Amino acid sequence: MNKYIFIILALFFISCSNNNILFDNSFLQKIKSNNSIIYIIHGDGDYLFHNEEGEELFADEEILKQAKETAEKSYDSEVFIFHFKKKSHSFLFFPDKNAELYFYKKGNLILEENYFRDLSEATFKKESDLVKEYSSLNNENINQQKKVLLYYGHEIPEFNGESYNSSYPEKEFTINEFANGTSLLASSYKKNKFSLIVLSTCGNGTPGVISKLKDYSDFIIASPENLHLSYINSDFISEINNYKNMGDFSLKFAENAFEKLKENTNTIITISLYDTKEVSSFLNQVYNDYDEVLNTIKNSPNYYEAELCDCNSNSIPDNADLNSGVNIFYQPPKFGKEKNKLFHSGWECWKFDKNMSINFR
Amino acid sequence: RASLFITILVLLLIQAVNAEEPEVQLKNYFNNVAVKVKNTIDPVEKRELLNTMFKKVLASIEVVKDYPFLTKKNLAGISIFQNSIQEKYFELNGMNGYQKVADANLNSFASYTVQDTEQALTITITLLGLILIILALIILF
Repeated sequence: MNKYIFIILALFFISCSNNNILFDNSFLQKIKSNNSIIYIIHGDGDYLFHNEEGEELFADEEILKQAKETAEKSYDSEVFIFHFKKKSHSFLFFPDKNAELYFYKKGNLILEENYFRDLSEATFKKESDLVKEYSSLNNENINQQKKVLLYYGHEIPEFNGESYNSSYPEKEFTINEFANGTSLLASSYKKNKFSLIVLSTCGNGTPGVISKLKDYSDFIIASPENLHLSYINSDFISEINNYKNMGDFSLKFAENAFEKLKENTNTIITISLYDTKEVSSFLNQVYNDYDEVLNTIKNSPNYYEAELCDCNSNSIPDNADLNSGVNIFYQPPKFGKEKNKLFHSGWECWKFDKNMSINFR
Repeated sequence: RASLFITILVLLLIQAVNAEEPEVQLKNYFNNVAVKVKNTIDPVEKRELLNTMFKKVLASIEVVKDYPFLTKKNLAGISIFQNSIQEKYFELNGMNGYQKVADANLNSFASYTVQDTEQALTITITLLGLILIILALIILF
């Protein structure tokens, strides 16, 4: 009996111990990088899609591969890749660690660590602690540091955020939690702000989302409409040190991602680049109206009837400067009602008629 | 009595579909048809494959909508999904103000259907709705 207990415990501890630190951290801290890149890849949901050849792929696994390849080419950057996975168990009873970190420095894999995401903690608290522990940026010229956060996942909800994580459906996750988590991550650095945030998600190019994130980044890239699950390509991150001006880099990054999506996407493509300083005026003009609609939706039992549409076709104040501070890369869908829509404002707004209720029967 | 029968059938058949999640099953269903379309040379056959798929899914949805225990939220998601499939059917056949999809564009249209549906399934439809549509597809066809 004791022999069997020993074997089970041995197997348990073997499955738990899967951290792989290749270098001593005190040594690593002496190697400074100019840039810091953080990938957060959400995989705790349904991310299955099919490519043009009909092959079954998982969006989070595909972007994880791409992130690792990009990290290996990023010789001037430290790269943190966090991958959130679905809950699983070994031998029926023992919970597997539900997140993994790959940490690269100057193109080399330094650390590979599996850990538990504790969803009772603040969003991205654990990730922020890991960044603080391992980051070593060159602080001699802090203003030339470039810090990029890339988030890959489903649309971050502005309301009704339950079931975002399929393994923890009771845990709410909305743009509020994401913004708080972003703030924590930004505080891992001396200058508490990112140069660029990339939201590779559907439907997050809205005044609400950009308002919540604008204080944490100089530039934000987001998709106002649905986004194909092949996602915003991040190859171009390895070029970051070739650009002094972050605005130029962000524009080129967005353009590169757009061109890659065009290759195989038949549905709509919208990639917006927001200069958070320049869009502030527009956000101030529309925010009250936008917030009123959002609150009406949140307080309605029929909240699920709300839909997003191009702000251009929505009732926003006439003097609102929709185009200021936004660069939009847009391709209409190849089919459907919108195939002849030539322009997009770069923003999506909520449309909701509280008096309307779809008649189903 | 009919409601009870349907409920028992649903509960029994949930065991069968649990082997693979219903979203996966439905996505694979659309993808399998798209692959057949692309592997077929004859545009008449391509159209027939797509039309048959749309008709089966729409018929399944009609059956599912009568299920008595669906909430308004479930029905809203199913209705949006139904409209999306209906519009694609109209466009394929040049109905309801649409220009008919040309023979040369049928492969692209099949890809578009897969991509658009995969995005829609993630966003609009609840798990219960998905299970019921899959069950209806299995039972009826």
